[in-house]
Amino acid sequence: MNTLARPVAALGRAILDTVFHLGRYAILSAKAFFFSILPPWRPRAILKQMEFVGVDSLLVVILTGIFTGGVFTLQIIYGFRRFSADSMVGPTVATAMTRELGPVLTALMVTGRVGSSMAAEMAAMKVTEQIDALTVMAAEPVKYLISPRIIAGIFMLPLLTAVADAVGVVGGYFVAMSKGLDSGQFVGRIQDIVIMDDVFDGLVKAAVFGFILTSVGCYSGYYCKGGAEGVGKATTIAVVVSYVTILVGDFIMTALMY
Amino acid sequence: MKAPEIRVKGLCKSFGDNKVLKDLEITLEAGKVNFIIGRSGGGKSVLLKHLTGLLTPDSGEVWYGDREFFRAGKREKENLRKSVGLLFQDGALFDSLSAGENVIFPLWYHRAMPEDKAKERALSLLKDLGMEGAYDHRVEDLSGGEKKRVAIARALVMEPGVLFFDEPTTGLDPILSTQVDALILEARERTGATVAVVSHDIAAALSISDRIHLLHEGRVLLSGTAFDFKKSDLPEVKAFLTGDEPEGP
Repeated sequence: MNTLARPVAALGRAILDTVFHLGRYAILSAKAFFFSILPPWRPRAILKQMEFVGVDSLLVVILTGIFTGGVFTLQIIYGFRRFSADSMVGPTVATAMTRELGPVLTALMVTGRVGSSMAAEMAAMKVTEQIDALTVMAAEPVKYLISPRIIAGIFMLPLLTAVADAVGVVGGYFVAMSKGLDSGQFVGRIQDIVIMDDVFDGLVKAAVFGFILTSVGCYSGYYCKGGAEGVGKATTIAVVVSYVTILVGDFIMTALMY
Repeated sequence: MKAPEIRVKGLCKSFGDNKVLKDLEITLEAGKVNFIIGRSGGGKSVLLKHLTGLLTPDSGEVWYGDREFFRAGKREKENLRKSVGLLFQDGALFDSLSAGENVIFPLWYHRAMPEDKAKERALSLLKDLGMEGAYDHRVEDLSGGEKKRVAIARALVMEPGVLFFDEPTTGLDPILSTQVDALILEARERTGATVAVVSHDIAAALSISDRIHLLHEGRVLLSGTAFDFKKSDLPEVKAFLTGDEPEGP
């Protein structure tokens, strides 16, 4: 192959590879959706995953929310005071948390904790033939393993985001008070300016991010190849792809929602 | 489905340019212990994956009695799978479940019986396999031999008509290997199932099999009893029995 053809061939291979993975991911997601609406339903498996995705992520989400709200408030107080716009600090923090920072940072934190763990668990099951064992026992692996995880992601991310939004605003409030802002003005202006759509849009984003981080994690683990190295690769791919997809998805959804 | 004969007809499978199974024909006798032996890379594991539907052949057929596996509909395939038990080489136990939960998993998943009865059956199976008291043990706390026995209990719990064993004695000490051989015979006695054992263990094949099939380069080179193998003049068979390299032409 000549020097000119080599990069073209590499580009072609990369495109084919991407299309192949996208197609397989779409099929797996569709199967997971299909199996989740088909009986028999297994509420216990879903609740177990909800506990793992939601309850167990609570502490990290609260910490992220508080400090994000706090640091954001610190930054904008500095800027807004130049224009005597102190009264706008509260609504700006609340809008930023509910529309953007809450859903995105929650999704990124949960991806690090849950998406990577799902990918590693699934990949370990793959390399130790546990997924083959399910197939041989006529137990559909996608229904048993993937559907409950995706359902848990879709339902728990909005709840976690709501918590992050709330503690973020509270964090911002305490920082604002420490900087001498008026308490009534901070809260009152939030009530005047922030509307339910701000909160609702953020929660819709969070549900989509929940789907992305669980489905990408499960996909990369489910189709993992090789031994221990494969498990490591699956985990890395799950985190990197989820992060990028969440950020790109966030941009697209924000553009569509405004 | 009780103990069907399993016939494989013209099975071909390639991975890229590597032809692993080449028009393979084999019959696993109903209700007997059939050993499938051969050197590493001879296609034994690939054959087993086709027998259990984990791989789809390029061409060829796998018949369970009068039903062809790969042409069967989804429901029929599911029913065929429910009648098959497979012991994986490393057990493939679910490490998120306890030993007992692993055993009752197929009953729980298929809602084959109420939970208390399923637990009763699992306890009885574990007791029969010398694993009394292991019901609540975590899988990671079990030794290699104990994992094998729990995996055998899981394979037996649905009372299958067909039992597959993938390298059941690999990595076990001689005493445990003898115990596993005894368990294979016991499982056959208990269920009356058609048993197929994929193994390198020629000693076990000669002592407990009803029929042995030697796979060589993707084909069955010889099928017969232990006696047929001992008196065979085929260099590949002799080499396998003695552990020496076959002589060149």
